[in-house]
Amino acid sequence: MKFFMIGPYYLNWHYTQGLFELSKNLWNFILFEFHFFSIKDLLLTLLAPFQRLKENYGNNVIDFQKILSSLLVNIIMRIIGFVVRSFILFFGFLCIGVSLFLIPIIIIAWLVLPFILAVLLGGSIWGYLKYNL
Amino acid sequence: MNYYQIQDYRSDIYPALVLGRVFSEKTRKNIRKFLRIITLLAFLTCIIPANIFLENIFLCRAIFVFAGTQYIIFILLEIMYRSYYFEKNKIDIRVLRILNSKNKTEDLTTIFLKHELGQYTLYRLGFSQSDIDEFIKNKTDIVTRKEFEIIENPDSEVSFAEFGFSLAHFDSDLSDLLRKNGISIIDFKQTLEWVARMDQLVKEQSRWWTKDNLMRIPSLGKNLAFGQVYNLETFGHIIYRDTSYIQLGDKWRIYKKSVNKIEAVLAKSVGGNILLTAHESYLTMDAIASFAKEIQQGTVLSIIENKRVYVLDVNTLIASYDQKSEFESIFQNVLAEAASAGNVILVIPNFSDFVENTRSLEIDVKDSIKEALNSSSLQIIVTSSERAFHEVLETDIDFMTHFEKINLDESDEYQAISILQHEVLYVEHREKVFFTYQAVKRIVESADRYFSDSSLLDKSVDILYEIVPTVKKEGESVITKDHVDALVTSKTGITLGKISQDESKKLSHIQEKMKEKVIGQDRAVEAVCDAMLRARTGLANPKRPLASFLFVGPTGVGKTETAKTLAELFFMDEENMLRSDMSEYSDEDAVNRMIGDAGQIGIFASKVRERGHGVLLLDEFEKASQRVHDLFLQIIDEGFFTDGRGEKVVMRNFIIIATSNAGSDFFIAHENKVVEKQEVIDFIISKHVLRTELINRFDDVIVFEQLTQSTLSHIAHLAVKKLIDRLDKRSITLKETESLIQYLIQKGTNPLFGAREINRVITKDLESKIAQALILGDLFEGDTISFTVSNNELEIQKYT
Repeated sequence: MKFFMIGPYYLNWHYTQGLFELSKNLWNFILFEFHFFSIKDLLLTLLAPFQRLKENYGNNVIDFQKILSSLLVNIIMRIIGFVVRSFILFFGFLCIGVSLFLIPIIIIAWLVLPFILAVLLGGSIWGYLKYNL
Repeated sequence: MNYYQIQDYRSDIYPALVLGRVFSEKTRKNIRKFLRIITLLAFLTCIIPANIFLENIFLCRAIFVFAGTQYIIFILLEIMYRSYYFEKNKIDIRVLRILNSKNKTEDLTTIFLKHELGQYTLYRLGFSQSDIDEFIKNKTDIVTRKEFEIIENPDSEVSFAEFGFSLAHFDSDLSDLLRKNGISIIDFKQTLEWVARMDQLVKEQSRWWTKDNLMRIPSLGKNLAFGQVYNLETFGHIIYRDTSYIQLGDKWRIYKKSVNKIEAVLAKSVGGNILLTAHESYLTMDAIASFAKEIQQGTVLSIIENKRVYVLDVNTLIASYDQKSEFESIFQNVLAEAASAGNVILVIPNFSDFVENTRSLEIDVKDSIKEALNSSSLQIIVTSSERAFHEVLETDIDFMTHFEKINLDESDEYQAISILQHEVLYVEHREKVFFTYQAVKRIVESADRYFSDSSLLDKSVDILYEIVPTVKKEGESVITKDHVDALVTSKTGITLGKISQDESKKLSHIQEKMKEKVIGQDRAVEAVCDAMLRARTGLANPKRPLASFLFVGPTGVGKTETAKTLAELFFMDEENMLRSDMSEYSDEDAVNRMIGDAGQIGIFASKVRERGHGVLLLDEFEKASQRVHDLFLQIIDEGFFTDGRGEKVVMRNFIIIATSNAGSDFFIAHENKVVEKQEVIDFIISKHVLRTELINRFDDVIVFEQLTQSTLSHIAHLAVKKLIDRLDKRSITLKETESLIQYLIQKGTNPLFGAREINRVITKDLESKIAQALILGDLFEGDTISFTVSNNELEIQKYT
């Protein structure tokens, strides 16, 4: 008797708690992607010099040549930093985009999963009977 | 909470229980395995080109789809089951599972023991499956659902451990079984907790999709956002090059609790500087290294995962710059650079020493780092020993407000056991061995008792690692208490554990052996042996020294000999005796010399630490100063003392023997009478030789009696026999005569000094006479001689 109760219990779980947990985990996965690509850290430091390497402008004495060369070095460092970080950010956003696109599909798949399984089960039995008997 | 009230909570997780009842966890696992194989086989059969089952291709396809679908269904069912499993519930799901498992019996204990977790608990306690089956078959006491109740914790949540614990309370058969096997109810509860924790851990680790587990995966952009630290590379090094990290090995897991605390403080967005203290300062570095290990493995909170831990080389820094201004400027540079890098955690080890050492440069580094402490982009961990912290740092309240203090407490036995149980999981998995609960417990107990050089956890883990290869070498895989005892015995020479047949023979002969060596002190020897037997059979308090005695009696009656014999019989070697003349410690400064102070190491402390175990003989104990007596009051009571540097010196593996001849006057006054112990004690107290509370601390006061005439002649006889043996090696035969014995007694003994002089007389009078005769050519090898006495003078008589 208990055996036959498993089906209804499962279906109940599948469309309530199961659905809820699935959505929660999908959301967790998006958060994980933000973390994995360090989106926040990279955005905040996007324009910072590469490896935070900085040339000093010298103190007190105004030396235009020194200022110009330091400025150039610092700008280059910032550009390198920007390029490297943008590269990772690009991939990060790409992955997040793909995930956001997949989420509705996964949820729909979850909703119809019991039907698909039922059809497959029934189909396999029916197919066997049809071709063998 | 009774059985029916527990079952009321069943509805919350009913689907999981139904599933568990129809297919047990193990069955489900097997079904999944079976379906996986069938699906795979069917799939392979379908795609083989020249198919031998060609006619049956539809059968193959049908089987493939059918089995594959079933497989997916069983996976979904498992997901559902786990989803209920991890739901917060007032009743532990395992308890409900056990109570609702398929079983015909009325007896809850039987149901419990037939369930896999119940079985596993008993395995951990050293029982085998056949033991369990036999127990179930023979048990007569039945715990029915009606009478069952959760004890001790009637209202709040019901855990697996509380359930099992309550069962043992109601089931007299179960509690009998435990008691007969030397398992206390507390042991049983701790084992239940262990089993439940392990079950939980295994299930949790398989859930990779939870937020916690996902966020612990290291991120890709890890180092791109942060800067380099060139100065810090010069005056410091990244933790991964620190010796503490290199030597850490597998020990990082035991610092889990401390690491979690460190993590919690560092995760704060503001502040988040730590003052880490421990009893011994190297432990702080171990904890930091363990923390770094977790960063490296990416198992820390995401806010910390990008951090780099640098250790400042304080000594290099001080040595490189001896000018105040130079030092200040480079130190500030290092700090500024670390802050600008944005992800540095700077460790300043032994900060109290740093403060003290820089004081000579008239620098207060506490002020120098204040600015950095307020910075949000740099976090600082300073470490210090607990003692130095109290002396140097604690008083600066303003400075202290910048820190959160974490103290790596010496863990107590209970904590150590639970941390070790966790570690055992990994060791078992790697080495394919099985630890019983008793083995784990004994490891911690032995570490506490027999090894005194490091922290309890550290020692325990060392034993844990060491025991595995030892046991495997013997071809065994289940590690029990006896294995631990054997290892400890081989390391310390102290015999532990079950008394073996050989040893029990030895113990029963110990009295005879001692009586052979210590002449005429039968009462004393019997008292000592009784106390030692108590110690050996484990009835003595483990927190105190193995035994402690006060030996009183006149000089030269066998007190020292008894101590030596004890060392030989209990520690295998007469050399295992540490002898201290307490008359040297009679001045006021004595305690400092014994245990040391800030500047120097104490003689006594270092000897005890070096030796670790043995007999400690304190000669003329009454002559030591009052403060020394107080020190021993503590040692005898608690089994340890704290040396001048604040470190604990454990003395629980020593037999402490204090001797005193303070009662000599008393013995002279009572010559030739049998004296009672209490009379002697009263005498000693009345003369203010030793205080009552000190005398009471000793396990026993042993009275050595005045030697009687016949004892003296026995001793003289033995001494002469030794001389005869020695001479025999030089082929000279000495004949013992009654006049010689009388001479020895007369010259070599007196009521004040006992029989101590006998050996001296033998050397001075007898041996020198023989030597003289040999030199003068009056005596040759092969001669037979005897001594005669005339006018109180010894003469050699030669036989021809």
